[in-house]
Amino acid sequence: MDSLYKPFIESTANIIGQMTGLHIDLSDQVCEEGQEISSLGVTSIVTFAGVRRGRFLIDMVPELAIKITNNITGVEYKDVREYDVLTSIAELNNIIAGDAITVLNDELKLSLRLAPPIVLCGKEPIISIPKLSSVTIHGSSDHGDLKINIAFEKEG
Amino acid sequence: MDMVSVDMKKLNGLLNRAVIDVITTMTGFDVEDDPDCSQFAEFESVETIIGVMAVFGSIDAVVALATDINSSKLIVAYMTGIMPTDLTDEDVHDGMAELVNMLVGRVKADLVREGLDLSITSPFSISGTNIEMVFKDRENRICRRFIAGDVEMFLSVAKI
Repeated sequence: MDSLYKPFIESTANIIGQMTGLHIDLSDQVCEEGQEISSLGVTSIVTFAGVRRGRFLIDMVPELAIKITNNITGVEYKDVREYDVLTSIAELNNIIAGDAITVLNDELKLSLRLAPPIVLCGKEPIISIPKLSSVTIHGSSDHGDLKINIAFEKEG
Repeated sequence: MDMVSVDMKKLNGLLNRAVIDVITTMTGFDVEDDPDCSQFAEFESVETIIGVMAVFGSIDAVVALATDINSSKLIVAYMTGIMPTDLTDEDVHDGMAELVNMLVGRVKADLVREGLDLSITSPFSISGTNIEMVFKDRENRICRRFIAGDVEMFLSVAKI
């Protein structure tokens, strides 16, 4: 199972570092997650399908979402609900997931295709993915916490 | 083989018909639909639940069905036969995801019968207050409002 999750974990730290210059410290611990995930504030979800179906979620505090956007765009945004902030996080998710599934497709021949990313923010959102067990990896940065969550449907 | 494409108008039409048929069958209510989604803004101020699914193949799109939490409990009660007061949060989340799965699955079946190709992702649901969901392409988005008794829902289809 590790071979399915590892590309997402590596891509997250690498791509955020490359695109924003921010260091993300991801935990070594992979936590089994229940069906419901409480958001830290800004969440982007990308689903994929192929030989297996699954979903990759990146979730972060609003302060970190703004800092990431500011570093990518060079513009000083203040409000996490601004369109450019939310779409920057969606695009970041798309790039991370795209990088990870390229590795999975090359190594495991899963023929995965990414669906368009969705990004959301709100007051204490809960995201629920029925019948899909997942793992969460918590992370931190100088601008607040983030977590990633990866799920694959069981084979067969 | 060249992939035959489906336009947004057709996808939206099929989804609208699926929503009306499924809700009418489940609840027995007459369903009215309205292309005016301007009331969605005030709707967002209450606790909302959104079932979401992506499709790709002959068309790449995200389908989202949003309703307030009380309406969702009513719908899920009809789906499951469990009283709304006895439904857990997990039941409601599962029910909304399953509802979107039913709608999109039905549209997929319609399109596959026509020889088109459509893959669907796992459904998921999001609940919370004042939720803002953003798609990158704001132009290719169709929203429709459905009213069935006390239930009000918004169907949003965004082509990516």
